[in-house]
Amino acid sequence: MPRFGVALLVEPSRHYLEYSSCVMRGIADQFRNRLRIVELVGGDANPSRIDEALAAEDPIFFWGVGHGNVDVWTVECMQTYMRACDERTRKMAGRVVHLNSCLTANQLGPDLVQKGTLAYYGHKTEFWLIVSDPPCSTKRVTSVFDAELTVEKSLFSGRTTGEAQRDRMKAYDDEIRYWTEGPGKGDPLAPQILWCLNIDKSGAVFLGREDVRITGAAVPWLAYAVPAVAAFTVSSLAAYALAKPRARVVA
Amino acid sequence: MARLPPYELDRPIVVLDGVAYTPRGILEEVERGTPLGERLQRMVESQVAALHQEELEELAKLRIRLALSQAPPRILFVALTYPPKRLTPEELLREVEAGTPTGRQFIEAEKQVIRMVLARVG
Repeated sequence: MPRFGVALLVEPSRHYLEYSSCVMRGIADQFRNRLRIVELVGGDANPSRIDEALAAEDPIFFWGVGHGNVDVWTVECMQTYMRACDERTRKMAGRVVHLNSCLTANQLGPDLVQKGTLAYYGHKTEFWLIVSDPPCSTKRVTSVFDAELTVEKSLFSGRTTGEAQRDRMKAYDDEIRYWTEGPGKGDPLAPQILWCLNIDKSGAVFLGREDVRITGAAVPWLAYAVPAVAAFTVSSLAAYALAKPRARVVA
Repeated sequence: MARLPPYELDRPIVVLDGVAYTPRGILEEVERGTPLGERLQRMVESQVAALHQEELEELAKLRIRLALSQAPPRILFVALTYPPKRLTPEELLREVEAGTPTGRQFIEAEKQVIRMVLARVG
């Protein structure tokens, strides 16, 4: 059974994927003291290392950026990691999965949920970004990821999968406001960035259970307390039943 | 008009009798008190432009053409598709003009921006 409080982040860098990965590393840095975060960066974001990390860490949460299509998700250097209906999709059973990628919500995402993935975040449309500056150097290049990766900020903070989806959609609206009313409204590239945000927001999909917290139970001690109280109650009743004098039938 | 981002002041927002008008142009006509200004103001206030799908479509394309012609040529539009898509402004414009699925996504996105702008000036 996947381990709560453990997250595996797949962060390839080539073919523009560093634009997302560097934003995720910034988020991970904020949460390392709250949960165990395992990152596969650059060349390590390959299929065999991912399989090894899944087996060794058994994380409740899986995030990865990669180029994708309706039935396929790839990692560093566009090596295929999983396809709809292949065996690897079963490795995601019992986990919460976020694929920052194009189009996987059409076939791959539903297949993952059918195979037991607890919750899935992805896109039914293409996921667009502007490449105008180096990765993470300006708001222009981080804006779409600041919205999309709100899922992780929420989940890592202890919110449920459903709450994280609502936070994600609100974050898109906040980013749109940044470029129309906020500090970005004077940027000459604002119209182009708004196209990307509008497309990415319209294609953002969530599937699966809304009540999962990757950090564990809402009140962690309940996980231990409930079985302990139940065991005590059962043993007390058994002891009482044994000690209780037998009823006598009086004629 | 004060509620609009600066870049919207000079982008066309309504089409009347085949002519596209920007918020700044509309404001000038309204301030001069011309009959055209009155018509334009009524259109914006009632958001008539948003009701005609064909006009909205043409307006979106026109705004995309302008935005892409003014964009720095070194920028790229990248999609995380497999195989990857990487378009220059010129290439994206060709997708929009040809009405490809990629171009359609950007037209629809621009329509959302137009609706938002009309809601603010209306």
